[in-house]
Amino acid sequence: MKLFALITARCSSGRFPNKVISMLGGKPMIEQIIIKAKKLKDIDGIVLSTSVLEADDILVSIAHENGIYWYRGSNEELADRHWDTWDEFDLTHAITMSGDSPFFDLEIAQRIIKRMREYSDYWTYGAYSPLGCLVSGHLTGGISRQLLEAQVKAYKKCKNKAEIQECYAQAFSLPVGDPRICLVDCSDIMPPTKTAIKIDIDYPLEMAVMNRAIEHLGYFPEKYEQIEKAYKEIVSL
Amino acid sequence: MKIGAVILARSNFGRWPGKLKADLGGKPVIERVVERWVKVKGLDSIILSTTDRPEDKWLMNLAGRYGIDYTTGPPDDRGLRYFEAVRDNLLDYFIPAPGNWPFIEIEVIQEVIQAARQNPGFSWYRYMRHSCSGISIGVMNSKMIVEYQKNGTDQELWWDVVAEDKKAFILHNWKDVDLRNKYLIDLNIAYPLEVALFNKIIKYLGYYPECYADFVKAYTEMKTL
Repeated sequence: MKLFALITARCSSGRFPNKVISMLGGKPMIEQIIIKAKKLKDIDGIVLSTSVLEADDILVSIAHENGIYWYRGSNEELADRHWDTWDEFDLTHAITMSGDSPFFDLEIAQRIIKRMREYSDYWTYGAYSPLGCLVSGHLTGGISRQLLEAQVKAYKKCKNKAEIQECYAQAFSLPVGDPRICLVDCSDIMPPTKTAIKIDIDYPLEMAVMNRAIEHLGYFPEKYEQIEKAYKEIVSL
Repeated sequence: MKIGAVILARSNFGRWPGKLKADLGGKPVIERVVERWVKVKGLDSIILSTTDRPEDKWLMNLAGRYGIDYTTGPPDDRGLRYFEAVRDNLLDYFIPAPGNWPFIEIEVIQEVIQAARQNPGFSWYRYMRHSCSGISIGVMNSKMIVEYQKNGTDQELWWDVVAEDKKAFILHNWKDVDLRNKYLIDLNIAYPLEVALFNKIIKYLGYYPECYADFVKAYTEMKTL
């Protein structure tokens, strides 16, 4: 078994260019994610997967400075880049993190890693609720090579880009109750029906609000409850 | 060409069951949504699509109060509810209107409707190719929903599938710097503290925001946030 933390990020996002290197709590957002990922125990490595575009050179520099692996692949096809990263490092399992989700809960990620080590045969591992409700920005989950292989097989049958997109989305969203999903109970950390904010960052003003929340806290949050508490306090509730 | 808006609304959202009833500037979120859609010019009908469950009866009453139609359908199949609303109201084109977008700009909606009326025959008319939650809107050719239903395409994927569709009529692009600099925040309602933040903004502004620029103004000025 070879289990990595896999961070996907690129600078050329259409809606908010350079989002992942925008400053969050005094550091580029991607660096905050790397720093948090480095606190995870029982993983075999951390890799930042990005594109070959010149605009993403800075991400490679940040990965290098922080002593983690990096991989550069297709800018056009996220799926290709994803799979090539797995091949490059011969991974069997990965805990995935998105470059725009710096507030993933460290304890939830750690529980998912533990479960992957204990039961390696599932396709995906996640803190799904029975309702299928995830908090935006908390898509941190585990995936196995079996899922990747099934994806590649389905991908080859696609005729156009629209089909590829659909295939990719479906492969990553197995229905709740599917026996290939390993549910990791994290309801004590983040009760799905009681969560109060989304924690990914899509827009510049969301980042501004989160910066104020971090400033209010005085430290970069490692737990969901910390960022929720700070958010609640800055909107004076 | 008959164009209608289908507002999707039900009480029991898994993550936050009370979302549509949450107070937003003195009225429930869904009422703010309906209020906005009834101001839109160029629509032939507005339909509130809900379920026949007892907890959704208040939504039917709300539709009655605003003089709009309603249909009922299965709670867990949004695609089918859109399909039934379109079929029952004989719509040639329809606008999927999420019940948690209370700040959608009327001018944006009207611009897309006008594009559809002036350029018939496309499968989709989108304000922007990629969505900006709470603001981006599209007019869909009813033939598309028939096809999606036939193929079992998940409603969540409609927007993604159309991204590369050559039959889509796209009015604007994120590469337009003015547009990118205008839409700086997500304006849908998904979580309780988002509503709290929006209420704080409404209180600060002293009025219910009509356009996106009001939010940017408030975010920029509210130093205590």
